[in-house]
Amino acid sequence: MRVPSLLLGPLLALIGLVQARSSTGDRVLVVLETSVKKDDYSKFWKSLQDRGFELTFKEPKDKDADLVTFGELKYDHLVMFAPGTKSFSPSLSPKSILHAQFAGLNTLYFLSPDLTENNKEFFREYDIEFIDSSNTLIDTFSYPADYTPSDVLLSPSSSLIGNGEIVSPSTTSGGPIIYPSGTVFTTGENPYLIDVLHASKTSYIGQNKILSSDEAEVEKSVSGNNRNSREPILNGKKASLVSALQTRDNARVGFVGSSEMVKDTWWNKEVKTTDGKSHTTGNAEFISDFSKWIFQETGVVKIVDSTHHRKGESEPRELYTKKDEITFSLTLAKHYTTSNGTSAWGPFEVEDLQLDFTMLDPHVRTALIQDKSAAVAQGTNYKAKFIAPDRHGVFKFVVEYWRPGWSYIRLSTTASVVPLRHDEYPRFIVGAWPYYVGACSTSVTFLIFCALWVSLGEGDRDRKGKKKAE
Amino acid sequence: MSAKQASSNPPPTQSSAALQSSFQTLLENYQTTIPARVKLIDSFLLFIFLSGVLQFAYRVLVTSYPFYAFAGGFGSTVGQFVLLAGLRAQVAPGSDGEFKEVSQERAFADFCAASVILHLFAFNFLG
Repeated sequence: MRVPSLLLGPLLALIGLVQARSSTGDRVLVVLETSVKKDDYSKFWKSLQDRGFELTFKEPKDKDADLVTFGELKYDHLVMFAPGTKSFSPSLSPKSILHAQFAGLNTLYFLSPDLTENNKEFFREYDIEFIDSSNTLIDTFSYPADYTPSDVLLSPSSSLIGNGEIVSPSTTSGGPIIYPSGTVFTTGENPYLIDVLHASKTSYIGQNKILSSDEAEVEKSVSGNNRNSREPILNGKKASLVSALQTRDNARVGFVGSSEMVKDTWWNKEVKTTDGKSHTTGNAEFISDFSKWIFQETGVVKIVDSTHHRKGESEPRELYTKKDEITFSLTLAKHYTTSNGTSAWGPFEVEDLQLDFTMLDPHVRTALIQDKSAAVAQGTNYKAKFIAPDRHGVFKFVVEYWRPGWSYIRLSTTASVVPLRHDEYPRFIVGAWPYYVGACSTSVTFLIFCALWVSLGEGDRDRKGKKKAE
Repeated sequence: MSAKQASSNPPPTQSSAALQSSFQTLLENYQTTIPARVKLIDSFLLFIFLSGVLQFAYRVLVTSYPFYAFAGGFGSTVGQFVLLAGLRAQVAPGSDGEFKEVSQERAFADFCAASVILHLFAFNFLG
């Protein structure tokens, strides 16, 4: 029995070495609809496998594609490549996908202009509204030479989000991104949505076909009907092409409007712009950055440790006395990938972290300052010192950090603030000595008065007695 | 009666001298007619009054920080003053008509009991 376990040790270590760089897991389910050829996207699958992910391919109607079994996630990430599918098997239905996302499943949706109506209905759950099917994004000013205007060429510096976590700076300054025959959507008020890629100012939405002169005449007369002019113009920042969503449980969802973006034909391809210059497309870099973020490789922060103590102590207390000096300490770590491809946790340095000491309302709101002298195994230590408010009750230490691109950090610890105990009040205060002396002297004088009164009484009584007798 | 006559005797030309002599007669009368016990009460009253004034001045000018201590100290002087005044009203000559049933011993016993309770309260307040 001992020998297999001895063998198992190094084996497990080996597995640990090839483990994915994702902070949550490496099991990926890819759902491909039948019309999509898997080999057309081989470079994308290869890039995921190189990053250590285990890909499992299924079809939308597969019965055995359960996402959650016995309450446990069966896959950590899902790539949904089925925009044109009308019906899904129960295990891949929108409802079960949402259910799995509540359990922590990260999802990457690849969409296309032929999005079905029931898919559109589902995406409204995320507060995303799509344009009519068969319409695509067109830009007649910016597309690669030898291609059609529907293969929109986007400048990453003006169309990409300037968030270093979702899209790395090298991609933002890199080659142009080709957005071939993709759909467009608008994002609603949902505060958890992040726009990643949006359309250029010169682009518009329409059908990608060249009209014959007869058809153009017809189109003119139709548009004279004012039908088109009343429709809102969707371009520029309003026209989202790629968006991301992060829930409060840090499950991440990505929406890519054009599935052809990741096709092998555009993967690191040399394209010529209309003005004759040659560029390498940034599609590969963009989609690998974006999938890294969706699959919890970048922008992941965790709370390593949090504690609080009174001045001069080191252990957390359940009760603090009012006006105590309290120190709150928090250690945060950022996930990163080491050079040999393993996942690790390193320092997370920000300037805008703050602590609330809350009872219904924050009574104290103070900055958490990085403490470089603290000895922490991993991550960065932050500290805040403050005086407990003169208010009795159950308080909470609350740290909330919600920034686009980073994990949602929320921490809440309870502690009570109580008044001084009866034996904790200060005694014999120097400033109060006149009052002590005043009270004592009154009492002493009272005693002397009583003694004198009694001694004086002997001589006096006669007179009083006489008076009474009279 | 003799005090009144003495104050009206001097000529009104020198008012300061008249005032001085009237004070003198007042003091003389006080010393001669007032019984020793009442004099004792009066001196105690004066002491308490001064103590109270000093404490209040300290509270206004310096600090009232442990307010309870001030309340205890100042309260004990005020209370003692009131109790003493009550005792004086009962034992001073001329008040026989008003407090016929109350003997001096009874008044003193009342005063002592009330004072002891007052001091207990005051010391509790001192904190």
